Amino acid sequence: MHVHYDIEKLASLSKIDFSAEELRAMEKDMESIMALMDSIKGVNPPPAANPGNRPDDRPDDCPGESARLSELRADTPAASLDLRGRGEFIIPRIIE
Amino acid sequence: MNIRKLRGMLDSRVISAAELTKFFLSRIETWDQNIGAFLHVNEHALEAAEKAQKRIDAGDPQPLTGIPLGLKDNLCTTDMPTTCASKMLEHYRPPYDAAVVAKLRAQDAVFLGKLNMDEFAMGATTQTSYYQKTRNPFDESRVPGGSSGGSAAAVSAGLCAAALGSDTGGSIRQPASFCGVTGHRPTYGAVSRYGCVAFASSLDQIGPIAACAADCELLLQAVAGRDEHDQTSFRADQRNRVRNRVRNRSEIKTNAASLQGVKLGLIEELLGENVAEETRRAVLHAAAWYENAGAVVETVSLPALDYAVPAYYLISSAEASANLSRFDGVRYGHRTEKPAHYEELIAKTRAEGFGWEVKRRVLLGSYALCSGYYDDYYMKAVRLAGALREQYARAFETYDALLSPASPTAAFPKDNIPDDPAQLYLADVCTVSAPLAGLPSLSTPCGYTAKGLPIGLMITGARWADHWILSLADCFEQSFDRRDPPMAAEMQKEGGL
Repeated sequence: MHVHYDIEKLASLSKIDFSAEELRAMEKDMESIMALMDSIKGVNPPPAANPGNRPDDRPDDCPGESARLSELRADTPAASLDLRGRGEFIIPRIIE
Repeated sequence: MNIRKLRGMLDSRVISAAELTKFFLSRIETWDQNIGAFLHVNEHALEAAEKAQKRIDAGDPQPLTGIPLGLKDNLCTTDMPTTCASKMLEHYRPPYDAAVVAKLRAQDAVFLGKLNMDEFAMGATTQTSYYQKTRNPFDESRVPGGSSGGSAAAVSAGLCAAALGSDTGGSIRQPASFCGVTGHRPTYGAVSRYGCVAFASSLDQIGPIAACAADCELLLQAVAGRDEHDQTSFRADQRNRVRNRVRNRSEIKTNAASLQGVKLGLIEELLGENVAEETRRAVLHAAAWYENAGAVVETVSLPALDYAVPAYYLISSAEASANLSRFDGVRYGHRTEKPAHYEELIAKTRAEGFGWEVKRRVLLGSYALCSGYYDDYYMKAVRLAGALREQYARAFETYDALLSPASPTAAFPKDNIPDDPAQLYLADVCTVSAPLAGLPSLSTPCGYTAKGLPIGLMITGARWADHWILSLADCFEQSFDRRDPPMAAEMQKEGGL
């Protein structure tokens, strides 16, 4: 058993309506997928200096790099930046 | 027929832009019913060709003026629908052009239409599209790969001169490999993603799929560069400064006779037992070709690759679950009828509008971000991506580029797609690591199976080594006997260029 989370609650968090039959099928799929995802649980990589495609890679003298980005990175290390259009950030947040 | 030849024909008035466009539109009308690459054919293509002709006649042609191109259907276009192959965006017409579309329009390139894909770019088969399933031109019973399967199949079948796709975990390189064409995922930040419907923002990248590496380079030059609408994009001069700081061997002249001094690494983890024997043999044969041309080829190990697939799926699904939250029945596209209340409006709209694979990824992403699992999954995946990035950086201190297969197998039959989603995800093992590390990577044909299916060689470079890896591919392509799909002979009977 790899899915530790109630599948109905997961569907509710995802804001997707499923029939009972669809939920059973999705639970089966998630079992298989989470078995694959669980393979990283045993590994313990060191914290990376620059984990991911962040604007940290930009040249130091890059104009237009805003302090806003640096602040956001510092506050939310898992931030995923979506800066396409309207300058908005889409950040994967921890779902409580 | 490559872009350079078409450019020559247009500029020397052997053919007009309108005649060239009519030629491709006629091919699409006759042959796309076999392939299913196009979701929408541009009714304004001939007008664009007439405009391009005026520019040619005025003596001011740009490299892509009058060249008929296709666009993946996740790139926003004001004059054509942009559906992401989803019911959610059926009939959606964006109010603005994607940055890459605007740049190509500025050159007066001719858009033939929008190309099929896996829904919201999630998939590796182009069978999860809400509208149609695309077939592989080399064998119509097989998948073209994905998610840019429509782009790769259209180029392979000669239905357009070249196309743009997008690559989040391999969606340009794997279909290019399956369809026997060249596909290039540029360095993260090389091309603006403004107007490319977001899947996973830290990984998404737009890139070319074309008949050869030289054509990919032409398209890359046209669309690359800084865009104020995408803060992750670079200006060309910034890019060069970074590239020069990272590498100074990228100026080595690459041609078939002078690869002396070039050092290439063969990625050990991507040539193991999970790779088909025919694929391994073709890639090793290509490596031997580089050796014969003077390069040194050695095996290199990147142990973090063992965890690249789960790391990729956790990061991309987490970002997808956030990005796709905007599809709620209020702001865009599909809306359910007569919901009882607001919560039901959102849940039923998403249930009706999203396909199964998209729902699966959204649920996985929500799970990875749940309090209590966040550190175990999402943060662990981010740290693994960092470890992978550092291992690549160390490898590029020694090697000028890394070689591997673009996919463990050639194109598989449509009716043989694994029911187990994890098995399908594992097939992405060759391509997911370059996006996690932000690296440029391409696929170019390097062999054929006994059944005549193309096999792709993947070449991955250090950040901003795009020109370098395209040059390496170009020099291999000049010696490689590339085959057309079987349907090309039939098409030629109806007239060629």
